[in-house]
Amino acid sequence: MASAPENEKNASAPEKKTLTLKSMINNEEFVVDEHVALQSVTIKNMVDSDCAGDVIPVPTISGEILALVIEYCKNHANPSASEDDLKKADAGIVAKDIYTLIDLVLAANFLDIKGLLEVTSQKIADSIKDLPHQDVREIFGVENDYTPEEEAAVRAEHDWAFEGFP
Amino acid sequence: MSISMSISDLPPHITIDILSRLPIKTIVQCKCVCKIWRNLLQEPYFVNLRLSRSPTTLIIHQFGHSLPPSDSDILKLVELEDDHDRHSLQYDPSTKFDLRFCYPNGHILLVGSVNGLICFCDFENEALFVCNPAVRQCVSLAEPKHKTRSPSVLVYGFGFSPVSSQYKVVQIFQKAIGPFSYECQESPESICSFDVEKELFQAFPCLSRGTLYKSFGLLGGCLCVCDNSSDSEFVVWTMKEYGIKESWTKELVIRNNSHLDRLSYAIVTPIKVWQNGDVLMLWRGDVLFSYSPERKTLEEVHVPRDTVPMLSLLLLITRCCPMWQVLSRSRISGQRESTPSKPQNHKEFQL
Repeated sequence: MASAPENEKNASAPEKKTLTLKSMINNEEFVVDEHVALQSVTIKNMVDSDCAGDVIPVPTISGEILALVIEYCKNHANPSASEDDLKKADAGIVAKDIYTLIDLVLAANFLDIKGLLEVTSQKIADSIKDLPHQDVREIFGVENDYTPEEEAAVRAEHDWAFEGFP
Repeated sequence: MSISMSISDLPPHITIDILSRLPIKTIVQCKCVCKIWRNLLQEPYFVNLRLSRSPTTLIIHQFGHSLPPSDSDILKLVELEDDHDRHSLQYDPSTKFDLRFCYPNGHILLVGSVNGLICFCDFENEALFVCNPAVRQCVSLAEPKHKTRSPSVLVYGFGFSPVSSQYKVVQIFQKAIGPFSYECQESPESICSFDVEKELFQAFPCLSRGTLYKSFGLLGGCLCVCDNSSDSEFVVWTMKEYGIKESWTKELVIRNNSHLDRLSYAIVTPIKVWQNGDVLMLWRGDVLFSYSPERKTLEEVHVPRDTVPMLSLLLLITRCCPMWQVLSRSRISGQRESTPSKPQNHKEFQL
């Protein structure tokens, strides 16, 4: 799988351009092929308007998350990857704990990478599904701003949805 | 080192995106998580996103005099799951909804459904109401200005205008003045359209003469007419370009076979084209079957059921969504159009 795209690249773009992305959280740097990085609309806009220097600083995204983002972009920039391959690769990328997923969805939003936003949001939704709302609060660190009376009233409105739930 | 974010740190549009991917029951529970989520779930952006993601859903109205009262006037939602390689009907018994909660008198019939809202009517008393089974809410509509005295033709329609975001119920009736005369059948155009926004009737380019055993539907996003008036075949015509007479195209021809014998001379409505090209159709309002244009086979599709046998059912198709805001009277205008002078207008809902 690795050799085919390599040949294609050599044929169409003999001089491979690269960009350096730098996490401003932990100063980690990643050298990435330009066509890989351009899947981010945010980066593409910067490059198109000549705002991108040699090193593109990426605020609020850690190196760990940036590595995942780049992995996603590399997979999707590979023209010989089949739909099935991509599905499997995406599933691997989002097989993470909830905190990583939230960081990842924020990164996908900031960098404007539609596909990554889609798979990460779906994965987060899948992990909320079937959870009692108290667990949703706890796991996701959501503060309950209802008074007990208010919460009981909202719940009473939709009794049927809570059948079999605490 | 990673900064630790919680789901509350997400911008509202991402939280809405995530919530819109949840099943209806979970969405309803999520209203209890916190006030911010409750408010997000009432945003029009959420409603539209959820509707666009919601699988096509069959609404089954279970009723029948021979059913025990506890099993009559029950609504059930069956989701149509459609993947590239397989499709199926999914029924979650917890979505069962007792309609007598909305209307204790019973004896009601479905009028129509749009965006997951369903309009019902008690024809005898001309009582109308709209419910959203996804959140089990219901409003009854104001009394019609003109009570019609039977015998007369009485038809209701339920529509939505995306321009003004208004839902409207349209009442069409024919006054019984002497013996019935169906002058409209003499007209070359036997279809009328009703513009829900402008509230105007208009003649619509129709396919051909003849009105028996024909029905309207949507097939692959196009208006279609199903012609079941022949012994030898069942034909579905689609209007490829809306409003353009020349664009009527013969889309499906199902040749006579042992199955079709049973299907002849009844109203058949296409429901969905599955991703693999098969077409799901509703026969006579209570039997589903699937036609494969590729293999030219016709098969009955069984609706998943719980322990209660369904004696009578009527199916409608919709997308479901919890809309807490919409079911307030202000958003549903109880618009009831009495028939303008021309009786052709009756022809909007029947061929």
